[in-house]
Amino acid sequence: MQKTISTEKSLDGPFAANMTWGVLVVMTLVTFVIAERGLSGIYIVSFLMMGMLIKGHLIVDVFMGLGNVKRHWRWLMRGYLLVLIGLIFLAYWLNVGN
Amino acid sequence: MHAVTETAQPKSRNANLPGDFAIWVFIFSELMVFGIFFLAYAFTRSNNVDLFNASQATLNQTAGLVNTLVLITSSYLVVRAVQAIRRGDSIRCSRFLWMAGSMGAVFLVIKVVEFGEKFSAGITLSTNTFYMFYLSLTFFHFLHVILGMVILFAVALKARRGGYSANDHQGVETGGSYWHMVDLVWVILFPLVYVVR
Repeated sequence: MQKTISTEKSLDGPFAANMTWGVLVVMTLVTFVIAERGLSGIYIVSFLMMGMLIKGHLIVDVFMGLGNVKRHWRWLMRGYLLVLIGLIFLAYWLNVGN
Repeated sequence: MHAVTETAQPKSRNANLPGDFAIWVFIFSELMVFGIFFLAYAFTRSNNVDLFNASQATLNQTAGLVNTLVLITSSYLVVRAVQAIRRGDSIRCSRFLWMAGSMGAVFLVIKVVEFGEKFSAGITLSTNTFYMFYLSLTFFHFLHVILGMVILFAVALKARRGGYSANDHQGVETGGSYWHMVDLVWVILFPLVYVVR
């Protein structure tokens, strides 16, 4: 008799991949609506930067599979995203009101 | 007695990086280069906000949207290919990789049309600072898509010929990791260059 261990809901299973794809598509569509309406301002910039960060984390953790690797590798990539997007935000934030 | 099979290999949160370690050195190097490029764009914009906003408004945002969806879907297909080979299904793995690579081709076609629109409007690298960044950033990424496609098709071909198995599929993970990096860069590039103002 064969017994099956299902890991479908783990980070490297089909469920996580399907959900991640769906979330990425929805977030991209929201970004497009913002672009189409020409919305701007520091709150919109913050929202878009947060979106970049979330999408980046999802790709790193689920698609790249780093959600399961040793902590230092995971945080190297997460740190890259945090620092990069943080600095980009700083460049826009410094410009508010100019 | 029970035979136990796994539908997808469970991993502890202490696994090593997927694929060959060398590709990760390459991926981190590439991410550093793109990161410096993005920061140069963001801080240069601070001194030319009106110019950047006016030039950004001429970009084809629909093309940017479609290309983002294409790359996200392509990356998803690569994930499915890796899952298939972990189950030992090399034919399915190969099919997913061909589909992913084909979506890369769709990305390139859309990008070529977009570049064509800009060049026929007389826009070049020297038109202004925004277009210098836009053309060089997107072309640099374009080259990475081409390299990623070559890798995906080579891995797909090997998978088709039975070159990978459930126990030996490092090549699929290596190629996949590179492709996800290409996707990751675009997911930052699209909002930064096409949307944020």
